[in-house]
Amino acid sequence: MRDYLNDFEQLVLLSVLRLGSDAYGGAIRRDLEDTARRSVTVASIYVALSRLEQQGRCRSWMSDPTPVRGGKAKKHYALEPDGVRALRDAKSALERMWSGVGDTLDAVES
Amino acid sequence: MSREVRPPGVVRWLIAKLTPAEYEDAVLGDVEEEFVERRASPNGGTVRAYMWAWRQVMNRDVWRLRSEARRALRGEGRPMSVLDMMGVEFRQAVRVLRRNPGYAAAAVGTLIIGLGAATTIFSVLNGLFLRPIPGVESPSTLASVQASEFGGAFGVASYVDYIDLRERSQAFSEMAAFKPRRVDAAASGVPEPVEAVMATSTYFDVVGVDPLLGRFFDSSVDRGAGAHPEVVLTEGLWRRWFGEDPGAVGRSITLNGLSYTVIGVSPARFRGTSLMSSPELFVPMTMQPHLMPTSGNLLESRGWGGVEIVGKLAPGTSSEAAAAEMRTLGEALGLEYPRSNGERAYTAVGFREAAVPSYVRGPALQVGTLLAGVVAAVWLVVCLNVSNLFLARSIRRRRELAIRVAVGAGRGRVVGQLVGEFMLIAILAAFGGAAFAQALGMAISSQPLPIVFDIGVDGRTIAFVAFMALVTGLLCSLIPALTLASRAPRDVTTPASGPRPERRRWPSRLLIMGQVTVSVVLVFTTGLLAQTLANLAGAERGFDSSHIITARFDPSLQGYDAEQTARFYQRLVEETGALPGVRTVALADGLPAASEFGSDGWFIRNASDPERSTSMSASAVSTNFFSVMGIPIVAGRGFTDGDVPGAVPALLVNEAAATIIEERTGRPAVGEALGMNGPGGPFLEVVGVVGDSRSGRVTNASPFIYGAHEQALALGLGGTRMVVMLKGSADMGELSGPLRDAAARVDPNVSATDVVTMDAFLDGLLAVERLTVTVLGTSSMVALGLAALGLYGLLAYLVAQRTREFGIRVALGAASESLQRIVLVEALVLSASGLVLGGVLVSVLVGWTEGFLVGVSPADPVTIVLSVAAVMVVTLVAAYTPSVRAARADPVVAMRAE
Repeated sequence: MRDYLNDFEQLVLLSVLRLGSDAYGGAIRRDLEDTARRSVTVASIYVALSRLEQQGRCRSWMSDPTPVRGGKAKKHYALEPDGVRALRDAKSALERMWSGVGDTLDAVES
Repeated sequence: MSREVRPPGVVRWLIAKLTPAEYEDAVLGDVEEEFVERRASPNGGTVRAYMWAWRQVMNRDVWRLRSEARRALRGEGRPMSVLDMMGVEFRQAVRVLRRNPGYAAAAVGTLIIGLGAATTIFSVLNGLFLRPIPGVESPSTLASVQASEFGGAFGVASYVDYIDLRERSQAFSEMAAFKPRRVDAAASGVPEPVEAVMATSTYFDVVGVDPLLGRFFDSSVDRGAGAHPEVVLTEGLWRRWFGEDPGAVGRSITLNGLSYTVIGVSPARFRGTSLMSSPELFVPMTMQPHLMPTSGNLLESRGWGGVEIVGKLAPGTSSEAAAAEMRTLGEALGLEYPRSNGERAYTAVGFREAAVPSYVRGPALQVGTLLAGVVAAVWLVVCLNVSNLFLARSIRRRRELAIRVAVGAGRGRVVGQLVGEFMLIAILAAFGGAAFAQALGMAISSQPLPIVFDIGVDGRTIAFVAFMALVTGLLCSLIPALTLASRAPRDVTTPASGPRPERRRWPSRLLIMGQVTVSVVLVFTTGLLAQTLANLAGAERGFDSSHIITARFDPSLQGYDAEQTARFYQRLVEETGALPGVRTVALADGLPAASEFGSDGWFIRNASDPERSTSMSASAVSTNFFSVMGIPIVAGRGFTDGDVPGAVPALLVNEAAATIIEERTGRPAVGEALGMNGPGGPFLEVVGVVGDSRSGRVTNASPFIYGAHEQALALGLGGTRMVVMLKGSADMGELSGPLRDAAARVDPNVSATDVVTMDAFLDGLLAVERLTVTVLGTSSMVALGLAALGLYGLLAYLVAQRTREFGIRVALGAASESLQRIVLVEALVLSASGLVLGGVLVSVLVGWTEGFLVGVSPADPVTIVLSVAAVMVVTLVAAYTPSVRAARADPVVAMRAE
């Protein structure tokens, strides 16, 4: 098993974290679109979540069916300890990589 | 209550079908929820919402979710669904083809030839016999009423009969009569020949066409001969003459010199009810006496009017019931009018069937069958070739397949994988084949054809090409795939290269032999038909067609009487005879081709059985016709300047007619007399016998009678519609312009039509034969080429396999020539077996080809020798490179492998 998250998995897990008890497929998709500015399909969210679930990084359960959404149930997600750890690892990896290069980036750009 | 807002049903259905069960509700719910939100947003929210919903299924993510879910479930033994398997198979197939672009291109390219050729022939036959007539509303409720006389073929009918039939019929709710006719028409200025249709007021109603502009004929036009000079233009003529000006309605045009009022325009889609002509304008049937001045008034005579009848079936009536009713009504007419209708029968046939008259249907079916046979042969070669290609490639993958079987893939999966791969090739080829057929169809349509029909690709053609692709795909791949799959487990232990157990590769050999067999049949048939064409083109015609240009005139359209007509042709001969390069000018009723003339029953004065008439064709010709055409006077005299109106009428007969006269009277033809009005005369004297002439497919001269033009005119025996022939001493093709100008100086209102050199005209008579030989020749080249490629591939493979063996032979002292010989013999044995099989096939097909042949035996030895030689040469060419490679076998290379 890959022991780190790819970019998209990272965004999806972050969204699960941000949305808390409201984290289901449609909400995550909209969050990625609104906050991360990524336009993705509904199915691709579930592709990533399915993989993360197999890796033990999140868990899912079906809510009770609601009269809206054509009477369909929502699939809710929440982080597992492995998921929290993976997000921490990803964050610190990024921070280490970013430390000290902010000025360099500006210099390259100007 | 407002309608519930939900994503499109198809999208929901697709999601439900495609997403794994455990995600179905979640995905569907998310899509529904967001769709509603997006629709509610202002500024084109609805359109964007729909696009968004579609995007949710039209992408790879749905498929990825399937395989992701499957991966999650793996180990629980969930079997793959058929859909999953097809998806996997398809992706695998794409991957395999991408990795082998050469193989893919060869297979697809070869299949395109086979499928494209088959589809082209199909679309031609489709256009001729199946495609609906454009613009006709509901053809299945229409039927064509046809008459026959003396038990002959059914066809056109009489107008007065039509009036009675229409009045009495219960099976038809409405009927219409019409008659095509060429007229001289002009909006202004010089008239041009235009195809017209004379029709009753019910015509457009029956065929279900509405006017694009203005109106169609009202029922008043059906009464009063010559009283309704009204015209409906087709959209094409309206555009050409009036530049789509809506003001054209109400304006006047002239037809045969008389002014007609434009009352409407018919839509562009409608091009008449026959495939044989494409009318440009419609006039009331009652204008017939004006438009056909020399034919008398067909509206009142029960005689043979040459009118076509179409009827709309009453609700609930079948065309069989209509046919039965027409038979009964026809019999009733026969009893009421025994003189005119005693020998006339009526029936009704399907509308679509009637669009192709029987004289076209027969030959078209004959040539169509031949072409279909040829195309089937090419297709067979293509299949054999591609099958061989597929087999060769799959054998190379035996180990891969064997391992798949060994690790647990079912045999069905392996066969499925191979067939699936091949199906992808067949699908690609189907697209190519359809494009190929479209291009070829366009090329065919651009030829000047006597038939107006659509050849383009339609739904039926697409269904055909899809079906053919399916059959081809299965045929080419299933047997090799099954063979390989059954052997697969054994092949695991076989090394991919190196020494092998005895492998004769007989399946490949059989496939190659099959290709040679079909090629032989095609080459041989081409040879026979090419000789037939040469025989027809080079046949002794009995006249000299060189340096002659011809044009047709019909001054009767302008209302000329006999005297005016005679004067017109005198002036025309003077004017055109004065053109530079013209030596003499002759006139005749028609050009020397059997189809130009009908025949009449002629009575012979002193025949032993004077009551019996003989069917012979007749033509009115100018006195110098025979010298211009180089037709010899065999007995008696030719026409002289003395054969004018007032003198004793004289006839000439050809040798075929003279033989008949001599048989029937026991006396020489010259001095005998012939008549058309009955055994009692009057008779016209035969003063001479001239040589026979032939043309086109006709190889036996038919009996023919010639009358002097001016005498024929004066006696009312024809001579109004004439062909003018200008004879010069060099190529006359450039004279078409000056000829038209000269004719316009005589009378600008009488137009010259069909201006063509006589050689070109005679050539045109053999157009179908030439087309057939071209198609056959091309097909046999393609087949032979493919067979050669297949043979080359097989030999190259065999030589590569036997490198070691050849090396050892060289090491043991074999001469390189003997190695080369081994390969060449192998090739020749294959070809010879194909030749023998082809010979058997040819002898089976003899009865079928015989009907197409003229002057050449179906077992023509020259053609046999040439075909065998052609196949042998191709075999040797294909075998040469592999044989040279065998001869260069290097013992060192061979030993190193040990």
